[in-house]
Amino acid sequence: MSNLKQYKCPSCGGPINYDVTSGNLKCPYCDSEFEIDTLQGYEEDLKNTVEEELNWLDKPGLDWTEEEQSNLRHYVCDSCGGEIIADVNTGATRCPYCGNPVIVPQKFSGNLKPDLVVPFKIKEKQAKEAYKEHLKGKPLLPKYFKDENRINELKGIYVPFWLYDAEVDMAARYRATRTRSWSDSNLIYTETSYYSIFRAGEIGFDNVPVDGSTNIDDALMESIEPFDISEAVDFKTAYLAGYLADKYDISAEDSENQANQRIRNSAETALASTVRGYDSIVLESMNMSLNNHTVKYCLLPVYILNTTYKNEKYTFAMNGQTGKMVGDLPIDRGLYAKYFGIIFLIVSVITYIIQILI
Amino acid sequence: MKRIIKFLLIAFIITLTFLPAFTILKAEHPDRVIDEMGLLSESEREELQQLCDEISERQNVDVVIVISDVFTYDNRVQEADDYYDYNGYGMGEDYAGSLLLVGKDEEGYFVYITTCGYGIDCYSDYGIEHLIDVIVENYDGGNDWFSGLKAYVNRCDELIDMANNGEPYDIYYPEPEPEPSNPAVEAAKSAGLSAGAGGIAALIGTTLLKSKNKSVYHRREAKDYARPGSFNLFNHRDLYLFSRTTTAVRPKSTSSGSSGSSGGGYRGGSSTHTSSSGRSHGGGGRRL
Repeated sequence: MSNLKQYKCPSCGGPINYDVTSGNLKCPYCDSEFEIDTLQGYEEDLKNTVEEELNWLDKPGLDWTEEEQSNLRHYVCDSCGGEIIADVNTGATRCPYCGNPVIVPQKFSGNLKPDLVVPFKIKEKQAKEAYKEHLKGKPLLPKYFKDENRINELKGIYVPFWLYDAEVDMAARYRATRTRSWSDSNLIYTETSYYSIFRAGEIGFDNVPVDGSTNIDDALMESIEPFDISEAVDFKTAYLAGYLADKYDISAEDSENQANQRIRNSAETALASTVRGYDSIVLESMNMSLNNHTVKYCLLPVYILNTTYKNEKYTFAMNGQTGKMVGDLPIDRGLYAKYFGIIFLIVSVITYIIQILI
Repeated sequence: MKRIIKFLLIAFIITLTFLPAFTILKAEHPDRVIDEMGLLSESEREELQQLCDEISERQNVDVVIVISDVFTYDNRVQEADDYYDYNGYGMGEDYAGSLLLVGKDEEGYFVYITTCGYGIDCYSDYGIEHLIDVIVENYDGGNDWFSGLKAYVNRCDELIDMANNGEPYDIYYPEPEPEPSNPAVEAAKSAGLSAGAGGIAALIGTTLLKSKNKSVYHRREAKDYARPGSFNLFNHRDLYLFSRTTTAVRPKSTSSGSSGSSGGGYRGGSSTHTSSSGRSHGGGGRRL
């Protein structure tokens, strides 16, 4: 029945009492002392949070018309199971994912029609040049990779992506410290001041892409980002002419965790960047909600080159819009040993000579 | 008869004339081992006293031991200096010598060695710590003070000898014998060091080269897709909670006053201070 407000000590968490002598609130456990206004503000910050919510509402994608379906072919790779789409005039002769030449055309069926497509801006010739450039300046690259013939297997493919928009509301509490030191003739004093920091804000994200195909490595697709989605246009089958297109096989719901995590990390970074002037900052709590969130189904232009070296598959990808090229390259063990030996020899000899001179 | 009376009178006058002088001489050489706490048996005390007397007279540097619980740890420096100065210790014009004070309080035994005159040269700060180590190594954890103090007195004798030879025991003493240099061993060491440096450099170099072949990474963030200008901070508060202050002892840049209680850190030589009598003293000590 008591109406007395019980505060908790921000330092140790123990119940804190009113100290008659000082007129402040004093913790009987750790002797920390606080002004009443300070404790009230601290308690307000503890309550001042937004409800955690991170869900997507809109359903992406459209239905194919009969005419569109009649213009498309659906291929399935016997080797890796990859499914690709091409228009009737673009004959797919080789699986773009595993290089297998046996791909079987099937009647086009099912799946959603993309909302948007970002057309290829980089031509195949430019992509080949970029691939050559990508191989330069890599002393440990096996010579096999510099073989011109491999470049001809570069294929332009539209990769299915889910694009997530979100308005993020967030509130966070941080524990921060400032430290100052001074000394007299005998002792060095170090004073650490503790602060409770509260921040609340909002931020919007547009078109955060998540690759919707299991045929292609997520890290590879994230590495060729960013895509400029402002150049996206409404999807038309005409854009597929001369290119292959992958079908999504991971739903928007199953991909949303990846988008959520990236948005959450960036929102946290943006909010934390407003806490300045402290020597240490530790996040104590973070609440986040997503509003007006939408998902779109979009095809993004990617050049892909698959190759195998010593029974291991290597895939290179290029952003067909910006020309950014990525792809991990193997290490030639012979070259590695050679460079190791050269550096070892040079540094050892120099070190030995220096020792003698000293 | 008159002659006899005259002789006795002259003898009496001579006795009266020189007796105070003998008394003064006796006062200038008080006991060199005083044990008020009974850490030594009387025979042990006498044996130590004889040893101290012999060394002090031979070296002309006083070696004195005073065991008493009237001394306090906090004032050990001043009390040891005063005891030495005002009880007539010290040999020669510069009152050369040392006094080992063994005291006890509620925290246990402590020792302090004060040095004076030529004694300051004989016992460096490092030498004083060494002498205390000699006691600790020989007194069987406090069960055999006689052995500990006897070893101390004998080591005092040796330290005075070293000072007499122009090389007082100090942090640089004894100088380590330079190892005979073996060209083959030196060359092997240099080769090993060079190979180690070469191996580390080669590992770093090739790791850097390997990193050039890696360009695929997961992205943690979506900052490229943050809508420009959409970030809005609508509530912020920085609330001061409390402060904590810690202290640490400031390291001394030079030695001055009495020495510290731990070994190491000596610059060599003896640090000195002036006692209440105006004499210059060296010294050092610690709890046991």
